Amino acid sequence: MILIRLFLVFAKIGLIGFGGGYSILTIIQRELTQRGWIGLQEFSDIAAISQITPGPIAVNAATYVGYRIGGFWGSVAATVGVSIPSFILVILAARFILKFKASMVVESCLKGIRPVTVAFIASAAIFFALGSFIDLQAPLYVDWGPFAIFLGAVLAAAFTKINVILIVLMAMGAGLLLC
Amino acid sequence: MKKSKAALLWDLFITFFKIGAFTIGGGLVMLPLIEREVSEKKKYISKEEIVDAFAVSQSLPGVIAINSGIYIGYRIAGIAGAVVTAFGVILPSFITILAIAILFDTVSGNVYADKALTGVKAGVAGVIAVTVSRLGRTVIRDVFAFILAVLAFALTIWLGVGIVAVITGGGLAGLLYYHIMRMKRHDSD
Repeated sequence: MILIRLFLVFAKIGLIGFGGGYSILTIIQRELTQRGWIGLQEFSDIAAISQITPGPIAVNAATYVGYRIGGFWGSVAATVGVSIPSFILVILAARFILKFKASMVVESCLKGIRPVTVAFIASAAIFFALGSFIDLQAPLYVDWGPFAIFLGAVLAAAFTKINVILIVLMAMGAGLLLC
Repeated sequence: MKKSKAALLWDLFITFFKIGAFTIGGGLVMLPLIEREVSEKKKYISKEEIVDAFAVSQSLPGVIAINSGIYIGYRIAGIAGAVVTAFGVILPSFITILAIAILFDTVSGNVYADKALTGVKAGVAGVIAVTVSRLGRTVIRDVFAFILAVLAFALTIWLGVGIVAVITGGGLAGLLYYHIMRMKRHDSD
């Protein structure tokens, strides 16, 4: 039955999908086009829609593909499927960390992991900048519109109490005007 | 002030629904939101634990936004908390995408969508940069942690080293360094 197959395929995607939204999109593409469930052209539409609509990219893609293949319940099956592995794995990991947090060994590991995680997040900020105002092909050329938005967001987040959601919405509006 | 469990779960649901609704362009966008809403404002968990949640979410398979939602929900309110945060994070995109799939045949290549997305990316880069400096001040407390952070940054940016490798390396380095320091101190006592 198609709903069960959708659920299983997306559970597999959730289980082997390392590295977040963009890499999961690649896996979804492979799994679905191989099965002939969706063509390449339609998939690139799905990828575009998933990135510009709110919500995690992989969840967006799962919901959309699920609907195309199995209607409303198809999108439920795909979305639940892609989330189930996270549920089991993350709770196991959280239990482990909480249980052994007092242990000196785990605490030492965490003290090493925290700074590298923050560094990784910093590189993600650069990844976003790359998508808007920095071009690696021409590093001296700065796109001023997006750069002004970047600076505005930094100032607003650092020195005011403006809600983060509001800042992102203002950036979106500014993008329509300046970019 | 102790909240009833139901009120706490409802609050978690609403918070993560908001986070899900504004995670545009990938899971990391939710980090500044989580840091402000869950740690700074409501003091449910510490900044260190937010970093732990992200380390776990990145090193496990699955959707990063869902992973971190589940970790934080579980930490604050057990299994029920994890269910509620996962639902909250998923629901906004589920509703939006379903509406789009039902209403339109295709939406790609829209000029206005591209402009809006460019603005969002620039804004998000700014907000993440500020969050990084805040988390960094909490987490980087000695020279060794600073060196680790610089090294990890360089490795991910220029060599494209994956997050799992970086976290494993950080964990091992931390284990060696901090454990040896502790034993040294122990010996000299």
